[in-house]
Order: sequence, then C-alpha cells, then structure tokens
Amino acid sequence: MFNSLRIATRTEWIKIKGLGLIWAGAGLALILPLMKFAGKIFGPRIPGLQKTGISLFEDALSADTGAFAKFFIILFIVVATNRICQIDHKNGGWLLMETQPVKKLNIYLAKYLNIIFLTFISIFFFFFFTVLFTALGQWLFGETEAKWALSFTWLLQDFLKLFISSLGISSFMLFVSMVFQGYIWPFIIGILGLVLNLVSFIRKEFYPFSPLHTEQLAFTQDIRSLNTFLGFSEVLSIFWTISFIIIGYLWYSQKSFKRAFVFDTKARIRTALLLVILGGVYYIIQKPKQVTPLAATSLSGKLEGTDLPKELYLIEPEFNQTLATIPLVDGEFTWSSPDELPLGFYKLVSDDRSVNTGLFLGKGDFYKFELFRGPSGDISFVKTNRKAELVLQSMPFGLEISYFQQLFQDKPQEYYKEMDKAWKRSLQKLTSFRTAENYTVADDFVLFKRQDMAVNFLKAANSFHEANANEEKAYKELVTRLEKELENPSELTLANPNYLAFKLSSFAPEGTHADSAVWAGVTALENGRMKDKLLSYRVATSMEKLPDFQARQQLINQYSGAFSDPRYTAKLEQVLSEQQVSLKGLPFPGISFQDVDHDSKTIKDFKGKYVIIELWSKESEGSRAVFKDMAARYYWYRNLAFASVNVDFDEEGWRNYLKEEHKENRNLQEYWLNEGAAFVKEAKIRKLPHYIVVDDKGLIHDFNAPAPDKPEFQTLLKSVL
Amino acid sequence: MDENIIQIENLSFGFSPKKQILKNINLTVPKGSIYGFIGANGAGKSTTMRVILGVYPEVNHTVKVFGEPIETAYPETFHKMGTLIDYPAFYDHLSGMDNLRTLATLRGLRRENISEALKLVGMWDARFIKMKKYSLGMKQRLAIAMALLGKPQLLILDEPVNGLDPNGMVEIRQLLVDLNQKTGTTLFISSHLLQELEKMVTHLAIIADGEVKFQGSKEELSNRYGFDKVEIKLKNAPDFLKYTDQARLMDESTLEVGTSDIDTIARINRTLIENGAEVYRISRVESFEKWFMEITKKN
Repeated sequence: MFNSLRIATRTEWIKIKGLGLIWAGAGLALILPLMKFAGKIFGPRIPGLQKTGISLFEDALSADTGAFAKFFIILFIVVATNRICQIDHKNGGWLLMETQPVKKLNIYLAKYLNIIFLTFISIFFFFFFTVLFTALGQWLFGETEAKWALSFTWLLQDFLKLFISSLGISSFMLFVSMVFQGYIWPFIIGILGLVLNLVSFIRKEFYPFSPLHTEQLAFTQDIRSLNTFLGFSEVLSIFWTISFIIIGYLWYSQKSFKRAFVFDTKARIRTALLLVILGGVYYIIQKPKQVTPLAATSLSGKLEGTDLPKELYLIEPEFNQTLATIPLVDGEFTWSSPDELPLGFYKLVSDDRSVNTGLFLGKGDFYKFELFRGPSGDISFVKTNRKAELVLQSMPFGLEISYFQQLFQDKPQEYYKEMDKAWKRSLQKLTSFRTAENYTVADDFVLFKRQDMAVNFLKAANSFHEANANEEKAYKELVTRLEKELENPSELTLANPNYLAFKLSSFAPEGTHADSAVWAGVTALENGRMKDKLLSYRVATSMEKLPDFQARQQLINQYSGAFSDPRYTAKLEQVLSEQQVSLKGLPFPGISFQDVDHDSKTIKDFKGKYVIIELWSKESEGSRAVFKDMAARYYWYRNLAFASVNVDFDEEGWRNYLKEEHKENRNLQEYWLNEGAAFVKEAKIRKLPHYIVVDDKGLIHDFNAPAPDKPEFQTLLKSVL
Repeated sequence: MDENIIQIENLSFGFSPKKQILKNINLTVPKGSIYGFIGANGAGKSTTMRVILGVYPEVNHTVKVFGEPIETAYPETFHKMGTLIDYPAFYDHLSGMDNLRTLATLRGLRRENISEALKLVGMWDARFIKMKKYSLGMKQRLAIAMALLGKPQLLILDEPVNGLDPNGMVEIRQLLVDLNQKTGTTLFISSHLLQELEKMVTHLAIIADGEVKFQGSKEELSNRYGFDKVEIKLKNAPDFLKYTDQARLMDESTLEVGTSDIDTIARINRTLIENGAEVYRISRVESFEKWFMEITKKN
C-alpha cells in the first residue's frame, strides 16, 4: 500500500514538472518579506520601534505569519490544486492514469500529498525569506540593538501550526478542483472563501463551517498565547482533511455524486453513516469549550530581559491592596493559592511597571505568562482559562443604541422596538461568543456583562424617555425587563463603576439629577456592602469636582463614619493621594509640547477651548485611528481642540513616524512631549493611551477621561459643548 | 490459441436503465490474435473498450481479462496491458520523454524501456520537445509508445492510426503486426477504417448500434459471407465463361471468382489468356465494406 502510494506520489510529482508551482509558492512567500524590506529601503526609518525584548526574527515572523496564513498561502493552495487537477482534466489524463496499475485511492492521495508538499515548500520559503530579509534589514538599517537568537522550538511550532492548519484547505480545494472540470469554479470558490475570511476579520466573527477559515482561526494571536499547541484550528483542519478526502475519493471513484452517494442501497447506507459520523464529529469539535478551573488559583510565568524586578505584586481590585508578593527567581515566578479569591480584575505589577492590569481572576483560575522586557517596551503573552473573558472584556455590546436617540427622535414606538431588538441581538452575541481557540465565557462573566449591558440600555432608555415622554407602556415594559436583570447584582457588577453611577442616579427624582437627593439616597441606605460601595464611589467621583485638596479631604472626613468597612475610608485616602497629581480643577501642568513646525506649545495656547489630549506610545499607537476619527467628527465644534501627544519616541523618531504614517489629520494636532515617560510616571498614568480633558480656562476637567470609543466619552463631550 | 485474453459474455451496459448503450455483447479475444473491433462512430466501440478497462463500472461479472473478472483484476492486471483509448491521452506541458516517465514510474520500469518504446515508434529525436508542440501524428505515435511501454501481453488500442499520414499508417500497422508475430502480443484494436483493419487482423467483431453483428476469425467471416472475391475485367466475357467453372458472369466485361488464393487466380488468368481472352484488369471486390455499410444502414 505505502510503496504503491509512494510510487503514485512520485508519478504525480513528475506530472507537475514545468507547471511553475514551486516558483509560484516561492513568489507568494516572497511578497511580504520583500515589501517590508522595500519599506526599509525607501520608506522613512523609525528608530526605536524594534521590540528588543523578543527575537528579531520571531517579532518579524509573528507580525507577518498571520497575513501570510490568511491570504497568501490560501491563494497558493487554490491556484496549485486547480492547476494540478487541470492537467488531468484536459487531454484525457484521468483515463490515462486509471488504465495504469495504480489504485484510484492512490491517485487521489498522491495528488493530495503533492499539494501539501508544495504548501510545505511555500511555507518554508516564507520563513526563509522573512528571516533573510529581517536579518538584512537589521544589518543594513537597524538602529537599535536587536536580539538575534531565535528559539527553534518556537520556529518549529509556528511552522507546524501553519502547515497543519493548511491541510484542511488543501483537502477541500482538491475535492472542489476534482469535481469542477474548469478553472473558473474552483477559483471562484477559493476566492469566496478568502472573502468570507475578510468578512470574518472585519466583523470579528468566526466561521468554523468554512474549510478555508482554519488559517484565519490559527493566527488571530501569537502562538505563545495559545493554551494548547494543537488547538481548535488544527483539529478543525484535520477534520476537514479527513472529511474531504473521504468525500472526494468516493466521488472520484465513481465520477458522479449520484453513483457515489445515492445510487443503490449500499451507497445510501454509506452516505447516511458518513453524514452521521462526520456531522457528529463536527458538532463535537465546534462546540465551544470552557477551560475547567483548577483546584487552586495559580499564577506563573517567565520574564526575559534586562533589569528584571526581584518580585511581583498581586493587587486585589477592591482596595488596591497587595494580596501577594511573588518572588522572581531566575526570571521565573510561581504563585498558587487554594483560598477563595473574590472574582475581579486584579493587577500584577512590579515596582516600576505593570505586568498585567486586567487580570480577571477568581478561585481556580490560572495564568501563565511569558514576558519579554526590552528597553523600548514589554511584550507579554498569556495562557489562561479566562481567555474568552479577556477578549470579551474589550468588546463593545449594544453600541448602536447610542445613536438610536437621535435616529428615532420623534418615533418613540420605533425606538423601543429597536431597543428591544438590540437587546436581543446583544444577548445573542454575548451567549454565542467564542474565541479563535473556541473557548466560551464562564457563566459568572456572562452575568457581569449582561448586567453591564442592562445598565447601558437602561441609561439610554431613561435618557430617551426624559426627552420623549410618550409610549409609556413600551418604556415601562423595557425598563421592567432590564431592571429585572439587575435585581441581583453580581460581585463583579457591584464593582462596576458603570453600575454604581447608574444606581446612584436612580436616587434622584426622574429628570432632576439632583445632587442632594443622591447624597440623601445613598446615606439613607441600610449599612452594608452595597452602601459602602455606592458611597465610596459617590465620594470618589464627587471629589474630582471639588476645586482643591482640602475640600476633598473634608468630603472624605464627612462620610468616613458612614462606612461599615473602614477600609473604604483608606481606599478614598489613596484615591485622594493619586488625585494630588491629577486634580480636577487644578491648572494643567506647565509642560510644553513640540509641534510639527518645531514650535513649543503649552496648554495656555489653547485658552478658550476645551482640549482633548491623547497621550500615546509606540505600543498604543493602534488607538490613534479612533482618536483621529473623533477629532474629524467634531471638526465643526470650534470650542474643542484635539491634541495627540507622543510620550516615548525621541523627537526625530516621532517626526519620522508621522511622515511614514502620512495620514490626513482633520482637526487633530500632533505634539511630542520631551521626557514624556517621566511625566507619565509622575502622573501615575498606568496605561497608555491616556486621555485628559482640559477646560477652556486651562484647568484640568478630567485627568482620567474615558477612551473615545466608550459611550462615556460622548457624554463627557456633550457636557462640555 | 486455446486461451482467451478477453472474454465477454452477455454484457449490457447503459448510464440509465432505460437507455442501453451496449446490448448483450459477446466477445472472445484469443491469445496471440489481432482482434479488430469495427464499427461506425457511435456504434459502441469506445464504450465497450472502457467497460473492458474498468473505466465504466460493470458489476455483473460479464467481462474477464486474463481469465479474471475485471472487478478484481484491476489495477494489478494493467501491468500486463497497454492501452490507447480514444483521443491520445497525455500531459501537454511535459516532453514526450517525461510523459513516458510518468507511466514508467507507475509501472516500475527502467529508463531503457522508455528509450526502447520511443525508438520503436520513431519518436526518439523528438523526446525532449514538449507535447503541446507535437503534431497530431506525433502525438499518436507517442500514445502508441505509451501503450507499448513494458512490453504488455495485451494491447487495447482505440483508433490507433487516427491522424497519421498514409506512410505513418503503414508503418504503425507493420509495427503492430511485427509485435504480434514476434512477441505474441494480443492486440484488440478498434477502428472505423475498415480497410486498415482488414489487412492486419486475424479476428474481428462488427458492432452496430450496441450489438455485435459478427465475431470470429477472418476465415470464418469469409466462409460465411464469401467476401474473398476477385473481379476479372476482359473483352467479351460471356465467351470465356466456359473455360472456368469457378467464375460467375457479372456483365459483358466482368467475371467474378470466389477466391483470394493467388495461385488459383493465376491459374484462371493463364487459362483465359491461353484461350484468347484479352484481360485488362484483375482486382479484389470490396464487398466487406459494402456489407458493413449495409449493416450500418439497416440500423
């Protein structure tokens, strides 16, 4: 059998001689590395962008493997399978082969083996060219020290992952190219698969039902972050491989769907069995999974780089207290605890910077870090059972309701109808959510997210109702349903500022937002956890509105006796000390920014305007697009100014970056802050991008303004317009 | 010739039960024979050949090759067979040599076998030219070389001289006859070029509208239908009828003799001339073709 298959494979290899498929594979593999290299030759060079924490080659391969996997290798497989089958489709090739001493199964398998061998070669070329051009680029143009060593294990894993996830595509495209005799249909089907991948990329949805989608699934993140090496995409790819080899061979053995699958009783029974088995296996594979928590909560990891800290601190979310001090031995750390751990967003920090500030952690959860620390930034990868929660946390739900109020201004009936639909859509999106690794969200997080959504919907509905007091019945129905969601707020919801703000607003009579009523309402609550949380939040947010430090201290003193748990007073004291740097109502620091014309500007130059400032770094430059979009949107509001301030480039690097970016800025002014890192540290800004709103008098309006893509940002802007 | 290489008994075949392409076909191809399979276009020749080769599924055990039902014989039995079905099959992006290499690899043959086959069909000099540049005749020769690879015991050739010029036809015909005579290779050849086959076959079958109208040796055909006739053209033919009892008077200038035996024809000719006849032409009567045309017309 194997010797016969080997001979058939050799024969097929002779047959593809002169088709140029190896050249095509090499050519497609060359495009990305060459384009990047050309960019280094002809484009402006940005010093300091190299993340020296990880290998130069790993960095380059990680950046491009996704694009190669999602487009180039699929395109190559589509072309190669089509071409390989065409040589037999024309001039009686099938007949010639089928009248030779070789089994049809071997003919079919031999073709498949040749396709995957060609794919292997193309992937090899991609790795080779990427390494070659990266080395050349660094050698010729590298302006920072680079880490040249490359982990062979990582390289092998990345290569194998790409190769394995391509197997299903090859199997499917072989089947399609065998069935359709012409060039055009297999090509159209292949291109449709690519388009579907593009749609998936844009909509951030996964389509495991598409055999061409596995590459898309495989490279949504760096392989270091994958919980398991052979993950969902690879298992799915193997499933498609086996399925289409069986279906394809059955078709090929009869050259007819009818004869292969429904011609006689035997064929029909076989087809039914095949459907049941393959359907069952597919159902099991694609069913989203939850990673079972362990008996003990554990954090472990490895830090690589220079100037590593001696210990890390796990900070609990409620009172910002250090829960555990974790020693770092030879760059590695490990911590585990069998204790109950309240569910929340913990922080893992060192003395000088954060390792992770959004560690969603509860009893039995595990996190395994790999962190590469370099002079120009950290790169961290994490394996955890809370993968889905981490992804979902940053995903917006029910965004559309923010424009419903304007859209249905005079149509309350339609407004409530659309709100109802949007709620159902959001719930569906939430419950059907899965990551690229096919992990779904744990119930505790679904409840939290659901309650957070309910708050947003309630806020929107109430706001609409204030302006349109019609359709009482529809309003009541919606509100009753949403309030029911919040009857039993979870621990996470009780820690959610969005919920707390909403809850507090409910103490004021409808439409009044009376401050005194809110204070009265919250202080009148029965002593306990709910009151402590609401009151501490109320005091903290009210402090920001007070003009000086003394007034804020007085406010804390005024309410410190109202807390059941004295730790809330301590928490407020901590908030106050942080606010000393970023105090609302205080003048914005007298720092000066460099503009693109080499002029220095201070905040006084914006007097008469509210200034929205975005502080960004190389790591966070992805956020600029949203900020630019926001600036362009508010072009006509002459009392607003948008300033984008870089804090970590050197001046030349910043100018080069802007030149390379050369995107049109409408209503956005670019600045560079000398010693920006020191300012960020001094101001205790923990994460970039950071947004600050300065009022028309040059005083801080909100030093911790929400990000532009958050609904709260709109609210804030509306409040100052 | 006591062993049959191909044995077909009551083969009926169609792609749908309502329309049968082959109807109750019976064929026996003896070992060492050159078996002509003759029929007009659409008569069922290629379908029969494809069924024999297992390309079309036949599940009723009606076809045997080398004594084994085709359901179990293939693909191993293809080691003993060479085929050329319909239009010559090949990979036009490859050279003639590489085309043969594909098959030689599959059959586990050595490079010398390729050289031998190429030389045999006169394609050695064109071996490195890509097949897309070949003329139709060159393609046909290469297809024959592909069929001859590895010296098979049975050659199944569908229209093997199609596309060849008259000289090429003679050459290939001679090649096949030589192969049969020197190595005992059995040839199963289809054609609609009746004259070509008539000159080389030892056995033949006539197929029309999916039915075999005749099958047997050439002698049996001649005996049954008296096809071997010679026409003698002479002046005043009736006057000379009395000198030979083997002749029939066809018209005023034609006598017809029921033989193809050279000695007999020579003897009759000598007798006629000795008795003063002015013979101006002796030619063979092409009745075989007329008969074939009649069968085709009837259907």
